[in-house]
Amino acid sequence: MGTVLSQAVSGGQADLDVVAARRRRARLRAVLVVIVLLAAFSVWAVIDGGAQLYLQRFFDGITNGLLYGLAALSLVIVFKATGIINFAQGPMAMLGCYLALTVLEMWPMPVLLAIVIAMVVSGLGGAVLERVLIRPFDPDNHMAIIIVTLALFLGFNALAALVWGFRPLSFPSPFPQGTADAIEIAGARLSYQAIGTALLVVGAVVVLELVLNRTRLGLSFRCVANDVANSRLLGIDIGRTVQFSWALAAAVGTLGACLIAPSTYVDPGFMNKILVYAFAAATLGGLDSIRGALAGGLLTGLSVSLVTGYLPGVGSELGLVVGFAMIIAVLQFKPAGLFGNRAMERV
Amino acid sequence: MTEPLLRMSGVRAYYDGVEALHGIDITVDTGEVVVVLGANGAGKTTTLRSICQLTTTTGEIRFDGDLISGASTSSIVRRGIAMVPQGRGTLGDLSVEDNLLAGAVTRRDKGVAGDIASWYETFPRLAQRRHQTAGSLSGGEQQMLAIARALMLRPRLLLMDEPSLGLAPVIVRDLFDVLARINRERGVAIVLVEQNAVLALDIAQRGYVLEAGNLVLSASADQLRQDDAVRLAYLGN
Ligand SMILES: Nc1ncnc2c1ncn2[C@@H]1O[C@H](COP(=O)(O)OP(=O)(O)OP(=O)(O)O)[C@@H](O)[C@H]1O
Ligand SMILES: [Mg+2]
Repeated sequence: MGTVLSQAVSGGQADLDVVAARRRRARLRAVLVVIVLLAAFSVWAVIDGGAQLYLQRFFDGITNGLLYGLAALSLVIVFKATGIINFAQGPMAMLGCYLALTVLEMWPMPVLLAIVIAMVVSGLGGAVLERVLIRPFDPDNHMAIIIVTLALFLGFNALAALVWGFRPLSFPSPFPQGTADAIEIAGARLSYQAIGTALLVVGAVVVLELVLNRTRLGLSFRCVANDVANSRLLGIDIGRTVQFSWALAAAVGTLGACLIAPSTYVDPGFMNKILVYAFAAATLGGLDSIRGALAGGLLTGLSVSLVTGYLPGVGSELGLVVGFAMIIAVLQFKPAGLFGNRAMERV
Repeated sequence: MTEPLLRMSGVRAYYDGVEALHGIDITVDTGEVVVVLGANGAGKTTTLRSICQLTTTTGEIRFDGDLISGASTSSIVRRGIAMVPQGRGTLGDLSVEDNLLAGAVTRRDKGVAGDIASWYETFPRLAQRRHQTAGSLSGGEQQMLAIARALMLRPRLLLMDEPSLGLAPVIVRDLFDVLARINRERGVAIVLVEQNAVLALDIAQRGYVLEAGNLVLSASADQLRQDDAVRLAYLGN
């Protein structure tokens, strides 16, 4: 009986390897398809409108894409730890942004410092939220938790309207924003604002990777993301780890909102549109992959910028439609995303 | 009489309200190897899960004299009970090294790096594959990793659920040598759930036989080897 079992199990192991290899190939193929599509579109765009216009659209797409990627990250962090999409992530980030504004109004200080303060407070807020409203529910009862996050979505929107009103406010950029504050590459403008934002996003991702890969809590997080039952047997406190993921996601979300706000405006609904792009980025990249979220963000930003910039009849007001179309296309053809392993099966 | 390291008294376990263990009494002394035998579905896994409070239980479980029934799994593990679940329980997405670090994630002392180095010495194959993901290891390598990972906790009690399952006979022999050595050198008590009764009884001092959620026999390893029913059911002669 022993040998029969051993054959059965080692057979299973070989199957696993084959599956993993096939998955890697499929992933490579999907990424290649996307890159080829983008490249073909780019060639056509350059021929159609010239290199300068294309470069401009490209820069816009990359900058926006990094921000979509950051917003997607805040979704991915919680999804990895819990298997749940936090629909309240957008409004949470919006509140964090208002918080930074209020801090700036009360105590004059550098914008970046106000953003950091708002991130810390958001992180604490996320931790409290998890403890009070999420943990009481059975973690396997995803439907209940998702409904809680939907309720929070509505509640936070109302709260912001109550406290700050519906009037759109402008958010100061942490970087110089004048018409002269830019470098020029082949005639296309690349603003300091865009460069600074990109550097901040990259810096934030590096810090995040360090936290997840070098700290005890980060290790716990990766264990829980891999296997909850086994993590329990390591002595890991699952609740605390999930709480950590909520705090981290809230802080990352606030940073994203504060970096997006200078190029839009702040009102209670301003993150909802961004969230559509973030969903597109997260579904594209795979909901359980941090690098995937960033890559997905870049692809989303580029696609939206190029499609709305070049396709006749698709103006910038139709950007959201492009975002939705991408979500639907990914869910249709590649539900686990380009880089992820876990499909969004329950939502 | 001194208090045993682990004492289960009248423990019943439930899955969704259905009773799977019907009141069992088990003791394990410090530094002892105890084997648990039983047919498929007898409740061996459930017994181990009860100790870690991974199932609902009633009755009393004491570790080192302290009541642990009703405590959280993470607090029980922190007290020094490590479990290698059936099917190994390594974290497939994490590297071998991270799996070992994860085993010590609750420890606050400075000895973690030294312990990892010593496990690499015990299992050189793991050292070669330290940056590979655990999911890419062979079955035998994963079992080694699972054991090393569990012992990274520096537990006083190790619960092993069918470690030989799916391994080639040569590897199983090595594995039991390692278990015996760990028990001898580190004084770690072991509860060993096994189908491979011959090898298990070789390294165990005592054993229990479970049948349909009840303990039907409790005896020394020698007595179990002589017992007709045990020989027929588990030793194949
Ligand atoms: N998750 C579960 N939900 C419901 N019933 C369960 C569950 N796990 C085990 N059982 C039941 O509890 C009883 C004991 O199962 P257990 O897994 O403890 O047996 P075992 O002795 O470990 O068997 P095996 O040798 O096959 O591993 C069985 O009747 C089984 O059907
Ligand atoms: Mg079992």
